[in-house]
Amino acid sequence: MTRRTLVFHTHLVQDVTTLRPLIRLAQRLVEHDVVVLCAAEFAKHDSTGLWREELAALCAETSATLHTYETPYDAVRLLAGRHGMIVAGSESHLPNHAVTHALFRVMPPGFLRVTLQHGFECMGLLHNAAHDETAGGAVRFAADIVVTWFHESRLTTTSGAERPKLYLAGPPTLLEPPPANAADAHDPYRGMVCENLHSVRFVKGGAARQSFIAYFNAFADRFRHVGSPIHLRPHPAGAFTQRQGLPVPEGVVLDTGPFYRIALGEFGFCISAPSTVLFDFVLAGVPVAVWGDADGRIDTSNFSGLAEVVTVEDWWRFVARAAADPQPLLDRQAAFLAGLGMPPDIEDRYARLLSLAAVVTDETGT
Amino acid sequence: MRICVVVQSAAFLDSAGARIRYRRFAQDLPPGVTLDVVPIADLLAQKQFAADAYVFAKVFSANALILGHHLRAIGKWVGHDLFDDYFSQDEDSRLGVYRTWMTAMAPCTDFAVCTTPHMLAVATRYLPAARLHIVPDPYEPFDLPRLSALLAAKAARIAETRHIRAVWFGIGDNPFFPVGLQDLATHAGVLARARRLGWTIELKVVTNLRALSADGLALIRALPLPTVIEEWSEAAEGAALEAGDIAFLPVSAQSFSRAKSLNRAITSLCSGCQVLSTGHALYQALEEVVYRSIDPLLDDLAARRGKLRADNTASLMRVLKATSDPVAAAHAFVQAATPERPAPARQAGGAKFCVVHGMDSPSENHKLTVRLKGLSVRSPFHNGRLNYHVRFDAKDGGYDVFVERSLIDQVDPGLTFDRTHLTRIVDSDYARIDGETLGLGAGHAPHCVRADQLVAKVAAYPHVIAAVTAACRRMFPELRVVVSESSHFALPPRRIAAAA
Repeated sequence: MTRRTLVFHTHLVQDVTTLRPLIRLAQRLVEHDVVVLCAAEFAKHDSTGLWREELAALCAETSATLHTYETPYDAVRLLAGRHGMIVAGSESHLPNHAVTHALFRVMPPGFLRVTLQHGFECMGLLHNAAHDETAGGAVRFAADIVVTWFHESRLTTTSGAERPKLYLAGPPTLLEPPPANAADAHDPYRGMVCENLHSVRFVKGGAARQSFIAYFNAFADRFRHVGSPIHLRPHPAGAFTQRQGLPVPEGVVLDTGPFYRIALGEFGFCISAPSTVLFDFVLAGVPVAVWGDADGRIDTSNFSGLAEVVTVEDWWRFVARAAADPQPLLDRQAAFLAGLGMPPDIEDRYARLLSLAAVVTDETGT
Repeated sequence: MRICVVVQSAAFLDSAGARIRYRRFAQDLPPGVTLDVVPIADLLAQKQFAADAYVFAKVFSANALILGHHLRAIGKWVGHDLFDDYFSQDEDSRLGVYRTWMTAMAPCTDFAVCTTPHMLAVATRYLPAARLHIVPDPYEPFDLPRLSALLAAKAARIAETRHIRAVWFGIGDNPFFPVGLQDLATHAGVLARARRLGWTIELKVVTNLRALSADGLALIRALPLPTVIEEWSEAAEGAALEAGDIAFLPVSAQSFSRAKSLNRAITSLCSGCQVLSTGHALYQALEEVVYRSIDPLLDDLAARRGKLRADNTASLMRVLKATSDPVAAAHAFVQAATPERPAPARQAGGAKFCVVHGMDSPSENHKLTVRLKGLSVRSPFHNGRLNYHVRFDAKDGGYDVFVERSLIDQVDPGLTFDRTHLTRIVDSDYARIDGETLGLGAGHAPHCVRADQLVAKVAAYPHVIAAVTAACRRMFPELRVVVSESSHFALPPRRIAAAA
C-alpha cells in the first residue's frame, strides 16, 4: 500500500501566494503527508531568494516537507510509493506553464491532479484581448480538476473540452483573515499604484507602457505635496521597475514584499492597469481605479463596473473622490463582486476538494 | 588475421550493441584471429593501421568516410556491421545524412554484415558490389540446470497465484522513429486483457534515462496496468528478467523495426522469461518458443505447460542453435571479414583520394585528409580559411578552380590551363583553371552558391556538388572522390539523378 499524500507544486514565484492559504488549510484539515514540490526552475524566477525563504518558512510552519526536483522523472521517483492529490498554483499547456504541465502529464495514476485559478484574469479561464491574441481561445489543462474563483458563466474563455473539469471554490485568499490594520493606520490619501508593465497586456499595448510610466511620474510629482505616501508595487514575478532600473520618484515607497503580509485596509485607494491586485483591494473594501491607455489598446472590459482612469487628471480626481466620499465607489465595487458568482462557502468547498485526496486509491484502473 | 571494429566512442563499448555482439564473438573466435573494438578517435590518433580488416559499426561521420577510403587505399579490407535501418526511408529528409554517408562509403567497401535478412536487403541497395553476409547476434551462454530450476519455480508460483510479472526492457526512444515506449503504449492493452481473464498482472519498464522524458513518462502513465519504472543498466535488465515471468516485446511494422535483430527475445528466453510478441512477426524464427497472443500464453501458464519450461529446454536449445549459435556467429563474422580473394592492392605513392568539403565539414577533416595523404578540396559551399589543395570558388557568372602549386603536374595532362601563372590565396600559391573547362559554369547557379540565404544554397547544392566531384575526377582520374558533409540541408546528388 502506498502512502496517501497531498502534494503542492510550485514553479512560478506567484504560486507561493496562490497556494499559501491552501497549504495552511491542509495543515488544519488533512492528516496525511503534505509535500511541497518545487521545480528547479523556481530559482530562476526568484532572483532575490525572497520566495524560496517564504516557501521554506511556510513549510516549517505547516510541517510540510519541501522537495526540489530537476526533471519530471526526478519528481516521479520522489513520489514513488505515494498516491493522493497534487495541487498546482498554475498549469496549462501554454509555454509559461510548461514545467507544471509536463509534470502533470506524467504524474503517477494514483494522483488526482488539481490546478487553481491563479488570478482574476487567468489563462484558460478568463482572458483579456492580449491573452487571446497570445494564447488563442483553446487553452488546455493536464489537470483533472480546475478550481475556479467565479461561476463558470463569468469564465468566458474556458474551452468546451475543459469545462467539465471546473470546480467552483472561490478565491483562496478569502480562506484567511487579512493582516490587521495598525491602529489609526487608515489614511484616505495613502495610495498604492501597481505596475505590471512586463505583462502581455503592455507587450501588445503599443505606447501604453511609456504612457503609464509618464502618468505615474506626473502623479507622484503632484502627490508629493499631499504628504501621504504613494506605494509603487511592481508585479512580484515581472518586477519591471527593478529589472529595467526605472527611477522611483521622490516620496514613493517601493513595495516588493509578499502581498499577503500587507494590510490593504490601511490604504485609501489603489490604481492599477488590469490586474488581480484590483480584485484584492476590492475584496478589502478599498476604492480602486482601473487604468487604461488613451488609445484603448489595454483591454479593461473584464473589470467593467469599476472606476476607470486614463490621464493624470483622472487619477487626481479619482483620489479626491475616494478620499472625500468613498461610499459610492464602494457600492459599485460591491455590485461588481456580486456579479462574479463567488460562492459563500469557500472554506467548505476547499475542504471538500482536499478531502478527495483521501478517496483516491493507488490502483491503476483499466 | 586481425579484425578491428571501429566504433564511435568509448561509451559505445558499454552499449547493448557492442556488449551483445562483439564481446560474445570474442569468446568464440577461431584460432589465430583477434578482434579489437576501437573508438575511431583512438584509431585516428595511431600512425599505423595494423589490422587486416576494418569493420565500421554505427560510425556515420565524415572522418569515418575519410578513414575508410584511406584504409582501402593502403590495402586493407573495409566493411560495415549494419544494425539499424536508417537507409531505406527515402522520403525522410532527416535521414539524408545516413543515405549520403553510405553512398559515399560504397566505393571503398568490400563487405558488410547484417543481423537480419531485412537489413541485408536494405544494404544491397547501397552496396551492390560488396559481399554481404548475415551474422546474427549470438546468445550469451548460460547455466542450463539453473535455468531449468528457475523455470520450474516460476511456473509453480504463477499457477498457484495467478499473478504475472511482465517486463518491458530496452531503448525506449529514438530520435527519428516512434518505437520503444510507443510500441509498448500501443500494444499494452494486450497485457490488460489478462486482468479481465482473472489474472493479476504488473509491469516493470526498464529503459534508458533519455526515454523517461515528459513524453515518455506520459506514455507510461497511460498504460492500463500497474507499472514500475527502472532506469536501464545491464544489471537492472538482468534482474528484471530473472524475476519476471513474461517479456513483452511488441514490434511495429515500420522499416526500422522490421530490420531489428532477435536479440531482445533471445536474451529474455535465456533469462527464463516467456516471450509474448505482438505486432510485426519479427521473431518468426523463434516461433517454437515465442507467443503471438496472450490467451494461449495464459492457458499454458495456468496448466504449467509454457513453451519455455523446465522439461522442454530442448526446444529452446534447438531454436538458439538454429538462430544465434555463438560459435557459428563468431565464425561467420570472421569469414565475412576474411575474404578468400586477396586483399585489395595497395595504391602507389602520391595522393590516394580527394575529400571535397561540403556545407558543413570540420577543419579537423581537412587536417586528417592532409595527414592521410589525400587531397583536400574546397567546394564553393565550404567557409574554412584553410590551405586546401584544390579550391572551387564561385564568382559572378561562373566558377574558378585553383590547384595548389605542388599538384599542378598531377592534373590530367589532357586539361589545358596556364600552369605557370600563380595566385596566392591564404598561404598557398595556386594555378587557375576556368570552371567552364571542367564543366562548371553559369548553369550551376553561382549566384545561389554565393547568396546569404540558406535556401538558395540548398537549391544549388546537389547540382554543384555533383559537378565538383565530376571535375575532381576529370583532374585526377586515378583518385576516388569523397564528400565530407555533416549538414542536414545537403541533399545527396543521387536523389536528383533518381528523380530525373
